[in-house]
Formats: sequence, structure tokens, C-alpha cells
Amino acid sequence: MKKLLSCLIILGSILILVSCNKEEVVNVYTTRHYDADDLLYDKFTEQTGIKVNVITDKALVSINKIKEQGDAPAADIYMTANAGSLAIAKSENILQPIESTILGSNIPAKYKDEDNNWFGLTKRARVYIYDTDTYTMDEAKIQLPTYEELADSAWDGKVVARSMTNQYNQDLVSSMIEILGESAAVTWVDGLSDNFARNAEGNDRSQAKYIYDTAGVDIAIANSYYYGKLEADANNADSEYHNVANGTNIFFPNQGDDESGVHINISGAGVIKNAANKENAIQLLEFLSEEEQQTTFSSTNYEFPVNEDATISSQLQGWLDAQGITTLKEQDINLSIYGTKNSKAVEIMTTSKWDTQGE
Amino acid sequence: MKKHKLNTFDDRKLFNVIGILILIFLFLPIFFIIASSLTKNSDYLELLIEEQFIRTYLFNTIELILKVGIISAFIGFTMAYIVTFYEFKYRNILKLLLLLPLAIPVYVGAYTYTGIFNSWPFLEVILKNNFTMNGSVFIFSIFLYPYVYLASRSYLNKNISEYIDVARTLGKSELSIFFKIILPVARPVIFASTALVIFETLSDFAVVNYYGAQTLSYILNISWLSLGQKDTASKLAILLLFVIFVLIYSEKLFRGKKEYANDSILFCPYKRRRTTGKQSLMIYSFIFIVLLLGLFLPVVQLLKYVSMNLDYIPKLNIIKITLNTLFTIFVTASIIIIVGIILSSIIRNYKHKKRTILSSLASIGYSVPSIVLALGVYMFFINVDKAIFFPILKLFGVNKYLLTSTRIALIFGLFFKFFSIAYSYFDQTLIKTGDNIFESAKTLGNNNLFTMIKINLPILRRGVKYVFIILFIDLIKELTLTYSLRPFNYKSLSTEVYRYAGNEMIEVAAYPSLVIILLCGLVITYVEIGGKNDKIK
Repeated sequence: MKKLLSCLIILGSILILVSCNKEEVVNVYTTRHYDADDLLYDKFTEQTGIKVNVITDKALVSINKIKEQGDAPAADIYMTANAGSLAIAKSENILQPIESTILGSNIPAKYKDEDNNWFGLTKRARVYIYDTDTYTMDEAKIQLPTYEELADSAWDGKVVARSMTNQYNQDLVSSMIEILGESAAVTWVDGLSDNFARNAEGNDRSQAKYIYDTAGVDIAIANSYYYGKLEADANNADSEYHNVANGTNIFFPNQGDDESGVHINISGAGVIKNAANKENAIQLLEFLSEEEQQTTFSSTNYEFPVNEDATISSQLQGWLDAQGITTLKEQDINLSIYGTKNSKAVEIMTTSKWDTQGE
Repeated sequence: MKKHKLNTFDDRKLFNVIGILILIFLFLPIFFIIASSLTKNSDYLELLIEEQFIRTYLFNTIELILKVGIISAFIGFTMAYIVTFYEFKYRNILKLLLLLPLAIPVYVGAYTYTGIFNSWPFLEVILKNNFTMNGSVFIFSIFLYPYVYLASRSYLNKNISEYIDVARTLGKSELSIFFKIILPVARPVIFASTALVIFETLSDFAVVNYYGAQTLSYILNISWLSLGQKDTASKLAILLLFVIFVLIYSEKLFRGKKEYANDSILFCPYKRRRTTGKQSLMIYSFIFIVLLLGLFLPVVQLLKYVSMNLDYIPKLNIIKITLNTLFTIFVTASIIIIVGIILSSIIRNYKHKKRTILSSLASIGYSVPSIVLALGVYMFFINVDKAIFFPILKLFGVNKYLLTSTRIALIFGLFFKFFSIAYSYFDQTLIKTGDNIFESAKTLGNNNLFTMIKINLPILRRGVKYVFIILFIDLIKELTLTYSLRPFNYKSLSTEVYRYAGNEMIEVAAYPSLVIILLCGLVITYVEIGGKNDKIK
């Protein structure tokens, strides 16, 4: 007992000593849990001597924690993999505006907050993965529906998507509220939910596997990032996703002249209000926005760079080329609306029983 | 002379104060949860109520826990019955193997079964259907039944032989002995251990989300993780608590005044019956199916994943992560055990009714869903940090939170959750010991401190190993609290599983999963074999 007590006291002292250690750091709350990010942080530390401390947590949990912390936040950077949470962080007043010419020139206006509270770092598209047994690419370009048409009864039982708990589905619905207006969006979500071939389960890749395995179900709504991962496993005979990418293809919807463009989401970050290591935080964001790191995101993590000087990886470029896309047409909306419309989107999806309307 | 003073000065008040302080401390996170639920209902909650979704989710939750409860009680108790009352070849090794599904965290089980279903599609048809609520019931039952098995087995071993001998003498059939004697006598322990299964089921959010089961956990997830409404989440958690209490209370009501049989009677091992050929076949088939689904298939699948990604091993830092996990477990378990011994010794001094109330207060943390408990614990510690430690550290020029920026908050979060495991074990042990020995100590003029050190401690010491093992298994698998309360750069085996599985890299998640299973397997085996040695001694 005594031994244990003294152990505890020693432990406590060590913890205090460790916390007194004055090295240059930047503390990051993030939802991104990728090896690619860790490698970039290591590179940043190597170049600047600033250590990057990370906690991964859910986006809104982190926002709540930062709010609880009040004037002395434990973290300097808030980073998420969707624009909605960034917008919510801004509206909750936990971020601060950052003036940086480097960020200003590296990141196009549409991928950052108008008041410079947050900055996009990578892009992903909410795409269709379709069954190549049913459509060739040429047929797909003519016959696959727009997002809007996906809710038509013609597609009844032919579509799958993961649960409404997934942030990317919520953000897709938010964008449709913005584009169609609320009441039309309700009709759209109702129609789409009715068309689902099964009740929601599994992740994005298992939606793709489902259409690959199941005759008559043609379209999986998924994140472009996951198609990259499917391709990585396509020829791995041991993987449960073996051959899935060989029997499916990726399709960017709404690319026609009078169509609204593909739904885009961003990963991004902002500096937390009263951050103790503000300068280090800015330095990290600038580093991540640079051409070289942006190219790395694309080549190692299947994401599109936001920095226009960065090279899109040949794999991702191949997807665009296959569909004959020279400039990807994206939804022309302010990404902040993913945050402002989020509660409405969740309400609509709950009411339409997104997760349980499949037959 | 001095020593005399030390063991006789009246420390009753001091002990009561310490007891009350521990109880208040245990209740503080719950206080923050209740406080954050005192708001006007959010629009979303109103929508859920108006459209009767709450009712649907509530019924689904009840359906889930009833099904999981009944199936795991059936598997767990039947297995305990078989290994206790029948003698068959390989009984000893099968007896041990039947515990091992407990080593597999349910979320690992859920992810792994996706791969298993892929290789064996007919299993998917059998195990994933409306009855199993798309597979969730199956996953919870097959990986959690060992709670019932373990408790029932040790109970049957100790308590039932003399009843059966009497029944045999009276010429009762095996079947009627089972239904008329064994089952009724064992009912309290079946209920108590099934309650553990149910708490674990209700605390999970990964499995129900993965299989799309529409339970209260699902909607709690949406309101907290998608909408950030901590008040709605707290309200739903309180609703869940209510469901749990109704279940427990109705069992108590049903049981009436019947208490656990007193197992302080002489331990006389039951002579096991040799099985007939037909019985053997049935027993082996049943055990084989359970072990196949709960142990062999998942482990083989995980090994398959690992073999696919051998080059990932050096990148994972698995040894460092394992040591880090073990460090937290040892510190947490030590604190839980020490406080458990102290509090159970203090509460023992109270009269029966008061003791029951205080004991249920001490156990409340276990029944709060982890996702909400994590929130309460965080709010509690960040407020203590802000009020006390942050200003103090600032005097030394350090801008840091002491509790929430280190693993202290995590350790106490786990303490709140798992305290009741140690507490209820120690509490039961003291109750079973009876009052005489404590009364004698008091009559001899000894005070509480002396009694605790000289009497309670030796009585409870034997249970420490058992409590530690159970805590070890629970702590190493724990995900939700660890994920929400860990400090910067903190990695545990379970958070690594979650990180890679969440990133759809189940092949990589297989490594930390296997380490968890291996370590749990080792401690379970150690107890089984070590336990036997104890008996021999």
C-alpha cells in the first residue's frame, strides 16, 4: 500500500515535470486519423523543430471540449474532415481570424472561410460507384442520374448508401437544401431513402461491395477517397474487397452544362481562439497548404489538393480522364452552409427514415 | 501505549466522512450529466418525441437487451451446467476455451465478422436477419455470454451439490432436477451476470452503428456526435438508465426476499456424471458451435488479416502502445482496488437498508453509457482544472491543464466506470463473512482503522487477484472513455483498433486486436490454472 502510494506521488511529480518541459509545440485536435497526416507532421517537426501533439476525436466532441476549456484552450488547431464542422466551430466562436499571405495565395477563396477562420486543406467528392456489368463508362455518362434524378422512382431498389450518422451524407443533404430549397430537399431525401436497396449498414466500401455482389443494385453513394482504397485492394486475393474495383467504376455526377456540379467536401483547419501557440499553429497550416505537402496528400491519401499548383496523383487524374473531365465541375455553394444547414439536414433524414427505408 | 491509542481512538466519524466523500466523488460526473440535461428540449428531441421515434428506439433497445440477455444467459448457463455436472473428454481444456470469447472486444468481433461473412456467405444468412437485429444480437451474445458462464460456473460449483444429493435420494429425474432445483437456485446469479452483459450491450456504440441497429444508442450518437447536443444526449442517457433500473428492480421484485444461497457452507465438490454417447455428441456439437463462432472463426480471420499486412508491423510501435496501455491499466486497477476495499469496509458498518442504498450509489457509474459518462467526467475534470490546477501551474509559468492534459482524467474516468466491479465483489465478500468477526473486533475495543487493516484486509486480499483480472479484461478492451479522455499523443491498443477500423483498415486493426485477445487470453488462462492450484493448496 505504502509502495503504491509513493509510486503514485512519483508519477504525479513526473507528470508535472513533463508538463513544465518548454519545447516548441503545436497542439492539434483533429478528426483525421491517417498515417499520411502523421508522416507530414513528422516532416514538419524535422523542418521547424516544432513538435506536433495530436488528439483525434469526433468533430463536435472536440468543439464541446474547446468550449468547456473557455479562455485557455488546450489545443491550438482544430482540424476536421468535413466543412460542416468547421463552419459550426466558427459559429460557436472558438476560432480566430488568421491573416497569412501564404495561406491566402495557396488556398482558393471557395475552400476557405470568408473571415479567414478556417482553411481547406484537401478535397473529396461524394461520387457514385457503379457496377460495370450494367454500364460501360459511355453508357454511364448518358444513363446515370444526377443527384436530383437519383430520387426518382426509376431508381427504386437500385441505390445504396451508408447510415445518416455519416457526416458526408449529412453534408450532401445540406448542399441539396441549399440548391433545391428546403421543401424540395425534403421530397428529394424522401425519394432517395425510398430508393435504397437495403437498410443502412457498413461503411462506404461495403456499399461498393454490395453493388458489386448484388445483381440489380447499380449505384453506391460513396466518397472518392474510398474508391482509391478499393483500387488498392483490387488485386489482393485475401482482401474482402478483392476485385470490387475491377467490377465497378467511379463516376462524378452532375457534370453536364446545366447541372449543379459534384458535391465536394473539404478537410480543413482553423486556429483556436486564444491559442497558446498561435504562431506555431499558423506555421503548421501554411506548411500543409504548400505545394509539396498538397501533392503528398493526393498521392498517399487519395485526396484532391486544394492548392492549384499541386499535382493531382495519376490515380485520381485517371478517374477524371476516364470520364472525360478536364475541369471538375463542383457545386457552386458556400461550404459554410454545411454547418448552418446541418441540424435541418439531420432532421429531414431522421424524418424520412434514411437508415430504415431499404427493402 | 501509543499503539493502544492508535487502535482505540474513535475514528467512526472520520470513516463516515471519508465514505461520504468517496461517494460524492463517484457521483460528481453524474451530477454534471444531470445538470446538463436541465434544458428546454431541443428541436431535434421534440421531433423525435412528436414522430414517436423515441418510442421506436426505446422498444428496439428493450428488444435488443432482452434478446441478448436471454441468448447469452442460455449459452452461458447451459455451458456452466454442462462443465459442472458432466464428465467428458477434454472437459478441462474446453472449460477454459469457453471463457475466451470474452477476450474479444465486441467492436473487433463486429468488424471481423464482415470478413467472415465474406468467406462463408451461408453464415451471413443464418446470423444476420431480422431476429438478430441485423447481426447485433448475435455479436453481443456470442462475445459476452462468458460473463454468465463464469459467474454461473463458480456458483454451481459451490452451492448446489447438497441440494442435488437430496433430490437424487428422493429419486428425481435429471430433467426435473435441472428445472426444479438448479435453475431456481441459480436464478439470482444468472440475473446478476446477465445484467453485466446488458450494461456492456447498452454501452456499445460501435456495433449497433456498424450493423445499423436502431436503438437509443444510435439516436444518442446522432444527437451528440452529429448535432453536438449534449443536453439531448444526457436526457437519452437518463432514459437508458431508467430502462436499466426498471429491469433490475423488477428482477428484485420478482425474486422477493430470496437471497443468494450462503456459500460459506462446506465446499463439497459434486461428482460429475459420465456422459452417454448421445449426450457426448450433443455436448461436443454445442460447445463446438459456440467456440467456432465466438473464438476460432474470429481469431483465424484476424490472423488472416495480419498475414496480409506483415510489412505494417514495424510502423505500428505495438510494444510501446502495449506498455502504455498496461501502465494505465495497472494504475487504474490499483486505485480501484484500494478505494474499493476502503469504501466496502466503511459501508459494511451501516445497517442493511442504508447499506443497500449506499451500495447502489457506489455502483452507478457502471450503468451509465460510456459515451455520456465520458462527457460528464470531462466536464467535471475540466472545471476542477480551470478552478484549481490551471491557476496554480500558471504561477510556475506553465499554461497547461493538469488533469485533462495528462492521463489522470482518463484514469479517473475508467475508475468511475469500473469501480463497481471491485466494490460489489468486496461488498459481497464482507456480507458473506457475516457480522460476528467484526463485532468481536469491536467488542475488543478496536476502532475502524484497526479492524480494516487486521480483519477486512486479510479477508478481501484473496479476492484481489480475481478482481484485478476482471478489471484487466474490461480495461484493456475499453474504448469509448479512453478515446474521449486520453491526453495528446496517447495511444492504447483499443484506440489503435478503432483508428484503423474506422479508417477501413481492418487488416491493420487486426494487430492491436490480437494483442488484446492474447493478453486477455493469458490472464484468463492464468486464473483458470492458478485457481486450480489454489484449491489444491
